[in-house]
Amino acid sequence: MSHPSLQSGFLRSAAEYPDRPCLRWSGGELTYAEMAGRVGGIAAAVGDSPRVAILADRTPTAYAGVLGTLMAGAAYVPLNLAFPAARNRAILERSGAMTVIADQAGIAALPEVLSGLSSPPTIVADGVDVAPAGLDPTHRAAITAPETLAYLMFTSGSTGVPKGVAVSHGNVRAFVDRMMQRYGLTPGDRMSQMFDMTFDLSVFDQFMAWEAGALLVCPSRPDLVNPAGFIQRNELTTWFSVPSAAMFMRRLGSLTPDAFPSLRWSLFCGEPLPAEVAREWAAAAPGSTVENLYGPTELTVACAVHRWDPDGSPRQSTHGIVPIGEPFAGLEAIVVDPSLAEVPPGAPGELLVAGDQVTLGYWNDRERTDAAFVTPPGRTETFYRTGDLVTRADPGSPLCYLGRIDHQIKILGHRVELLEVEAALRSASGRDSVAAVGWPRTESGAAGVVAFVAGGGEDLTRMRAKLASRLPPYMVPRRIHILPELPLNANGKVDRGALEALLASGDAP
Amino acid sequence: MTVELGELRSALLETLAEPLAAVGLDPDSAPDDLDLLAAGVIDSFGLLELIAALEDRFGTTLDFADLPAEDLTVVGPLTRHLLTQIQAVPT
Repeated sequence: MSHPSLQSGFLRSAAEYPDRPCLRWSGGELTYAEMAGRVGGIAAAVGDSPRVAILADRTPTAYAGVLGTLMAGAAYVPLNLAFPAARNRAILERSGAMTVIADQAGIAALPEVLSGLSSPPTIVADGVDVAPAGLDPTHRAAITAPETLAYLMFTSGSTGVPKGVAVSHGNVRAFVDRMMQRYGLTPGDRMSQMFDMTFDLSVFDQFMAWEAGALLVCPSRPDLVNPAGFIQRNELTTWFSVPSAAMFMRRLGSLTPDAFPSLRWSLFCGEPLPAEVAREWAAAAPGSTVENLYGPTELTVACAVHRWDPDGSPRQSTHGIVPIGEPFAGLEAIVVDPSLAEVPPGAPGELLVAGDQVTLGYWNDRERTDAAFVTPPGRTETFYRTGDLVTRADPGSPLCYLGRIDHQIKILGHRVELLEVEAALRSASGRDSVAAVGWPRTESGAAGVVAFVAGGGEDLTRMRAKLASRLPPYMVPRRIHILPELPLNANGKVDRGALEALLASGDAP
Repeated sequence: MTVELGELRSALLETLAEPLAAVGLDPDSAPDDLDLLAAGVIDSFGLLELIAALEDRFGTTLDFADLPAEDLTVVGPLTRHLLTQIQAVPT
């Protein structure tokens, strides 16, 4: 059995459709041939670095950087221009990447990111517009073994340090093959690219487009407040976003009947999808099939799916949330109790998933990897413990998401460990008794984080600045409330429920 | 509901005092042609927060379907749109 590399799809498309558009961004459009030229240049520059960080946002450099890195046999580590320099530096250090590919904006941000690093990395400043002749990277494509690392995706870690999920070529290949079979994308498709590269749902956008020879369309900054116009103007055929984006459009009155006649596929992932939002979207894009995808980064982008059906889905929804459906064919999902024994149908339990999309584990973190990648009693395969509480009403019903078994929340689809925010709060305030809660609550999770600190006389402006210099914007508390002391529950732990009640009452100081 | 354009403009910009200060502006000096998005004062999430705050303050539900997208984040056109919305509410 052959294991084509992750970049083989792009290489095939570049050979078959050299003149078709590959990328549309705020600065213009590139064909597959032009992109291949950029990719070849970057692959040559990357050389023998095993891991390569990318600091670029929705420019040709960003995408050529991903492909060029893979072509050179290395793994890519996405950084984010919206992150504070300290977080990008932490990711860079933890990943051990010794090369950084940067575009214009990335170059401007680099001095601060690199300040204080003991061994500064090599910088690949990509700005060349002329494609080097004679790109023939196929020999590289052929030798990539399936267990080769493809990317490191850093997510919020409960200890206060971001943790890197290590994903192999074989993992992503398995995912992309399943998705190509399901969605049948073609060179005529025009796909949205809403996700930042540090969010692994961007892997779907990029590799599906390149596999199909389709056009990837990046939103500009103004497009982000007018996503409906973005879909219409570019006549997108495939939309993929967090449900929050659809809720935003609904709020602005953009989800009118038949607003998006060009769409064939409407895909949502990253956070719970409210049935009401799915229903309105389906009416706005009547020519499209609406699907709710589910999956943590540790299972390679997504591992389960539910196809929205206006008749059946509302009945199958739990608390107004669309089911997460069934695991992809070839993956196995079980619902277990804390001893990892399967629960009977109808009972809630933690979702565990096994199969070829189970990733390599956490980068340089054996302890955490062993805790999350487990072999339940009586089994031989490795299952990933998702930490998600799910239930299946009866054997014929789809899986439904109920909540988390820990303190992780989702903000606009981003994973946020409240414990990581609290660690940052302790350091910024110098106080031990702190708490972070997801607030305000939305249909699909929380809109932001609100913090509580037990103390008095704190300099809030200074505290906010310290938090903003350490955490990604979506994790920075939008309000900080100072209380004389924090309410505790019977176990002596901070009572988050009481804090949420305080926020709901509007009496929080 | 009787609301003056100036009052509404102040309410809107006061809500944004903190993010305005972060980019070196203040509610009194922000010009009508200031694009809050381009200036980095709000993102799409901040826009939703702003809408929620104004709905709370004026006790009404605001509708943006008729406002051209390029005007959505510009102080002058946004304020004028909000005024027509708020004045349409029966008192």
